[in-house]
Amino acid sequence: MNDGLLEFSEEPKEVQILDENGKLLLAGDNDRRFFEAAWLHKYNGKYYFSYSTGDTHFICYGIGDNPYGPFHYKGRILNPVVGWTSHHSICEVEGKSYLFYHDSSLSKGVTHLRCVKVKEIKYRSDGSIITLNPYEDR
Amino acid sequence: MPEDNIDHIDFDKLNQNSISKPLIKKIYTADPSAHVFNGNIYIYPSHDIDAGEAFDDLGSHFAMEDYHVISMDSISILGGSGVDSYKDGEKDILMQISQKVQLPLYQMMTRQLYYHLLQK
Repeated sequence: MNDGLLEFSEEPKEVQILDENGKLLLAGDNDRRFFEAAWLHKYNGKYYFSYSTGDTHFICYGIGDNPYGPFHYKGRILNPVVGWTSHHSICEVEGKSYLFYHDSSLSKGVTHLRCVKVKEIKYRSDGSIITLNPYEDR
Repeated sequence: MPEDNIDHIDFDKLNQNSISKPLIKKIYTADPSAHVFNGNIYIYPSHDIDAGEAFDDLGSHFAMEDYHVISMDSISILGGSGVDSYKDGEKDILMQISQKVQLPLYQMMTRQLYYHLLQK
């Protein structure tokens, strides 16, 4: 964006998310395709594009070498929460990465009355993110 | 936008098994955009309210009226027993908005903060 942050400094480009064969994730791939809630963060020199799959309720991500992409689909960050929507951000605090997200637990399942939560996310040595189960048995 | 049936969910058990607790319980919050500025953690969430709209596929039941900022000076309180560090008061309210603006995103640029909102 330009200095005033009120308009684009260049034509917006489409972001490409590619599958394991380098092919575009298509609209029918509901478990993996982008729906909403885009977020970009950087880890170990790579760009991580994460998003919600909407009607399948996952937070997924792809990794790219460039903030413009393309991003290679790598998996899920968060499995479905209570409530239809899932929307997040990822922020590094004191050397650790945290997933900020929400669910509808505080309202006992009212899908449009949500509550913000946070949990640390961890990376494997290959840069992939270990999937969080929001309500794992402990 | 079909909603899954939740009648079978035991929320006490679900909350017990949850990997985290709500950060704020005084208001309903969503879509958190979290940032660290000058060592402090700032979360810019949506503020959910119930406007009494019927559920539909366009998400008309989602309603908001203003934006709040949650700030924390330490990560140690995150993921623990939950915090209610949020204080009631006008200074927490960033702006009053129409009910169909959603999804906040902050950007820091030079010494000003720009608040971007998605108009539905």
